[in-house]
Amino acid sequence: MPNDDAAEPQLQNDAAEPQPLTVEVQDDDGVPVLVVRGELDVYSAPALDAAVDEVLQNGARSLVLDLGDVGFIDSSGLRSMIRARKEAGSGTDAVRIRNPQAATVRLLDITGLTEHFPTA
Amino acid sequence: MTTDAMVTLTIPADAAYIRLARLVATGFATQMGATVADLDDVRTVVDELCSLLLAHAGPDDQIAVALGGSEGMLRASATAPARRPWNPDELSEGIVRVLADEYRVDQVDGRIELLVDKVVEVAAG
Repeated sequence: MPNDDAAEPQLQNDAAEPQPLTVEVQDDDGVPVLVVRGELDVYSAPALDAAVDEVLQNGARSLVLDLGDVGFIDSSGLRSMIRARKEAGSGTDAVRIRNPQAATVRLLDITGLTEHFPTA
Repeated sequence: MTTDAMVTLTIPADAAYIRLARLVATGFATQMGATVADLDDVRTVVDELCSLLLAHAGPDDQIAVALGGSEGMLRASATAPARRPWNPDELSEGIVRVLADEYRVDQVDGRIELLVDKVVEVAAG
C-alpha cells in the first residue's frame, strides 16, 4: 500500500512550472506604466510584446517599463524592450525604465543598450 | 563541494523548460559557493546557451545540459540536434561571450555543442 510519507520528493510547483509573466498597466500622469512581474525570457517575452502593443494601440506615444519585480531577464527580454522602443517611435524618451534590478542594469550595460533606455 | 562534481539535465527543446535549466545552473553554482554576481552570470549564460540551441532544434528534440566544476572554474555545455545551419542570434551570443571566460561552438554528427568555461569567485565565509 502506498505510503504518502515515503513518497519521493518532488519539485515544488514554483520550480517545475514556468512562471507566468504578468504585466499590469498603471497610469502616471497620462503616461502608461507597464509594471512587469516575473521572469522575462524566450518563453514569456511575447506577453510583454502583447502588452506593449495594446498600450500603443490605445494611443500612447511613450511608456514606462517598471522592471522592479523582474527577477530575470535575458536576450529575449532585451529584444522585447528594443521592439517596444521601435514601436513607440523615435523619441529618445519613448521607452523609459523604472526600478531595474542589478542584473538587468548589468545586461543593459554589457549589450550597450543602457543609453537607449533612460531611467524614469 | 565534491571535487570535479558534475550534474546533467535533459530538457525538451521547448521554451517553457529553459527556466528549469536556469534553476539547476543556479543551484550548481550555489553549491560551488559562487558570489551572487557570478550566480546571475551563470544563470544567464546557461539560459542563453539553451535559447541559442532552441532556435536550431526541432520541436521533438531535447537539449542536454551538463555542468561541471572544480577549483573555482565552472564548465557548462549544452547540446542539441542541429536541424538548420548554425546561425546564432548576435545579441544572445554576445552576452555569452561577455559573461563567460571561454566560449566554443562545436558541430559534430548533426549536433551542436556549446561549451563555456567561467571562473567563479567563491564567496567568503
